[in-house]
Amino acid sequence: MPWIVIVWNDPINLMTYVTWVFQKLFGFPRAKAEKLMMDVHTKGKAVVSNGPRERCEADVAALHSYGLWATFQRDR
Amino acid sequence: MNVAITAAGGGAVMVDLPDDLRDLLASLAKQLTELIDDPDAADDPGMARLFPPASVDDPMEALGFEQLMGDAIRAGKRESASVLRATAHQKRLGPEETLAWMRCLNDIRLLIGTRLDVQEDSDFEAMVDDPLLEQAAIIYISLSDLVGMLSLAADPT
Repeated sequence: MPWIVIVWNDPINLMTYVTWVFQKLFGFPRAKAEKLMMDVHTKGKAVVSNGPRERCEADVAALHSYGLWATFQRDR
Repeated sequence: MNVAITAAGGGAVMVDLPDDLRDLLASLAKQLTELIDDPDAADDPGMARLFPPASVDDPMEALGFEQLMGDAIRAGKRESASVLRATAHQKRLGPEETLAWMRCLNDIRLLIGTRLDVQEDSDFEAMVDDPLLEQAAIIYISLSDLVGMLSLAADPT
């Protein structure tokens, strides 16, 4: 899995909203979505998906559509 | 002011909002669309927050992403704003309309929050007391309430 998608912490997006977006976009159960959201909030970032480059680009575009601050990069 | 948003099943919600707040939301959605379509707004920090670079350390990668996905992301934000304006006075929102409200109201929060320089420890009481910031801060707080209520009421599955 050579590419990863990272969501970065920001002071504006609400924790409830970020959790909701993770559930909606990735189909995560609520507990997993909340853990990822807390990772973003407390550690500053979290890897939310990985896979081929094209899939990661599509995930970043979807996250930007929801107003989350997301980037993609090679997994190194 | 009576504000309530409750689940209506299948991702739909019931929204109980005063008419003047609904008018304000429609007006803000219109302003958001105008800003997205304004070529002179590209350097606006709020716009930069709505369309962040897709790479932290590779400007070429970020540029390639913008060329590949930028138009679709802008179109999606325009579409959400358009749906919000068309449904601003509905009492019941279907799943797709709920999604559009959440995305658009959150985009407006990002825009206003960036202009207010909102931080984790921002003192909103002080902002509300500042005549220059009062109006934007009150709208921001109100939008935060709405996005929070929508996130709790709308079923993401």
